[in-house]
Amino acid sequence: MAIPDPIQHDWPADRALLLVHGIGNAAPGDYAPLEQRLAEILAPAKKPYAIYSLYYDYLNDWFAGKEQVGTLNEALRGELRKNISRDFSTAVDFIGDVIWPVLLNDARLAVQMALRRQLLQMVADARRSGINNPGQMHISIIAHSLGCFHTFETLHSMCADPQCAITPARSRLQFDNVIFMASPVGLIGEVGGWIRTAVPQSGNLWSFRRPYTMPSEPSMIGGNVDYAKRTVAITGKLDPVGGYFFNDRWDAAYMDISVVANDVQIDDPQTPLNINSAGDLEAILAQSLRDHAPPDISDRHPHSWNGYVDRHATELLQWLDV
Amino acid sequence: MRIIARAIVLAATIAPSANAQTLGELTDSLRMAVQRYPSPVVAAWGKKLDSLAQIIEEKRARDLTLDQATDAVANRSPTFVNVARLRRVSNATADKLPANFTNGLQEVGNNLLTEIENAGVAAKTVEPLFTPVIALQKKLENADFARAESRLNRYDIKYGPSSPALNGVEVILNYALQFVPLPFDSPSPIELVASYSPTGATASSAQWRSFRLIANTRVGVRVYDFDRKANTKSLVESLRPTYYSLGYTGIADLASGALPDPLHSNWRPGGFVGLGSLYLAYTGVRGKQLVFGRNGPILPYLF
Repeated sequence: MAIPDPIQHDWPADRALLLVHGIGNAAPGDYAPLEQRLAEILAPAKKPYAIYSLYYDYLNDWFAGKEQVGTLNEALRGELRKNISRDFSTAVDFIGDVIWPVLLNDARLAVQMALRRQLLQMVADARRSGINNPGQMHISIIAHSLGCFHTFETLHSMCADPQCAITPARSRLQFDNVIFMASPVGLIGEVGGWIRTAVPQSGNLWSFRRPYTMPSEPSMIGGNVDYAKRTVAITGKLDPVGGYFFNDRWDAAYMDISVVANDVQIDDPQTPLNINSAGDLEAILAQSLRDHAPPDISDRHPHSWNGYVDRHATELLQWLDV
Repeated sequence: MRIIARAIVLAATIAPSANAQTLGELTDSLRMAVQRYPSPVVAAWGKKLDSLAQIIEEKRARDLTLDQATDAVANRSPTFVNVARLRRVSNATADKLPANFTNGLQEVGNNLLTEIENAGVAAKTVEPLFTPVIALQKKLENADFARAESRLNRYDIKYGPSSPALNGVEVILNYALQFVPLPFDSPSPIELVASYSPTGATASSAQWRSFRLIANTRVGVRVYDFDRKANTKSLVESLRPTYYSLGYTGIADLASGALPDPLHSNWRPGGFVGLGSLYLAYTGVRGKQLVFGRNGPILPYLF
């Protein structure tokens, strides 16, 4: 099949936003409503944004078809059920969906390459729109769910790669904001740790290294230059993917970025969802599960990306209106 | 008129020509920027620039082009082909320039540009002076983009819809192969094959009626040709296989029936080669037998 080209846009000003989705079967265009919603949220900003989405599910489909990921996933879920209490048994299905990329090195690296290519395309678009200096390009990333894992790993690998053209010290490209919503990085680090001997090249996974840091690059004149000027992690207190089970935080599976410079850590009570008991939550999680397919995430689901964006619209405008 | 002529002469002396493409011209333009826009931070970068310029003089590398400097970064990856020098490295650039040299120039140039712009100098004013730096940065970005495209094409060839699906045994073997350090960038061109096929075709003579199906097992390696374009429009290129395979084969006796036990010891040993999805297996044990068949699972997850 033809590999989809990266998304291209003309930049209306000197800023752009990249959305990196999580688990699902997203086809190009599926996140257009979310892009539209973000455009509305950012409308009062001083300068308009070019909004991009990275679509990479075609890569997941390749690996699922070739490597029988479903079989691996089932085996993995069986292993997880042994380690997780019955109260959280429904959450195991979500954990299975986010943990499998750690078992297939190429599956992970292919997504990283697609994300890197998209970022390079954004820089090329900026040049085409008249901005020649990467140090004057204002790029932010909002990642959701498994997209947080891929973003976190990709930024680290890019920063450490001498062949990468857009690192913070060498090119002066620094992301204004890297915003993780419902991040499973902590969960992957914890659960991946249980099966670490079964994880190929686990030493290359930044999700396994605590405390969590954001990438930076040493400068020739001293000090380090951060890849992200601001790092935000928003975790729903009802969202199992972020390491919470009905307001009960599983510390080891939580993406704690408190050691990151200029971090913003928000534990979202998700009150508007009106989920008042563990039973309610279990029912909503169970309803969303489908056989041999990613969960169907409705707007009332605690993992909904739309929900995260809507509940934090004010902060998003504040962070992105730089 | 005289004023305009003087302005043109002045601009020509300050700004390097738009096609300035050598390391010498790049460092000259940066030195000019350091002089024109002095500040403590600019001076700190200016010292780094002096060190790099000295290396250029010592190595007599002033005439190296920005393309060559970009190649030095692109060819530094410790892949098997690079280590074995199977890939052509232009004009021995890598021998002339120390490791990280191009990255150093990139960093000094981009930081000087950003510092000067952040100090309030308009991009339109300062960027003509940085034409070579901007060109180098753009070349590095293009090379990086091309590398990402190439890697994605490789994943397409190895894992895309037209790649051979793995059976259950191959999934486990290739999962285990991930733990073996191999001298390749991801994805590795190597894949393990462990296949059982009940539908190989053989014949005992040139007559149609002598054709029959025969079972065989194959254990070996599949090697992907990543130079082959996966989505080519060229007919010749599209006929070229994206993978080859070879290894051990066990061919059943003709009397073994339709689905002989793959773990049974009565297989006749031999060898096989595969071009794309087609394979040819041969044994000379207990009679010569040539088997022709097609790779790929007939029953999902099994064989």
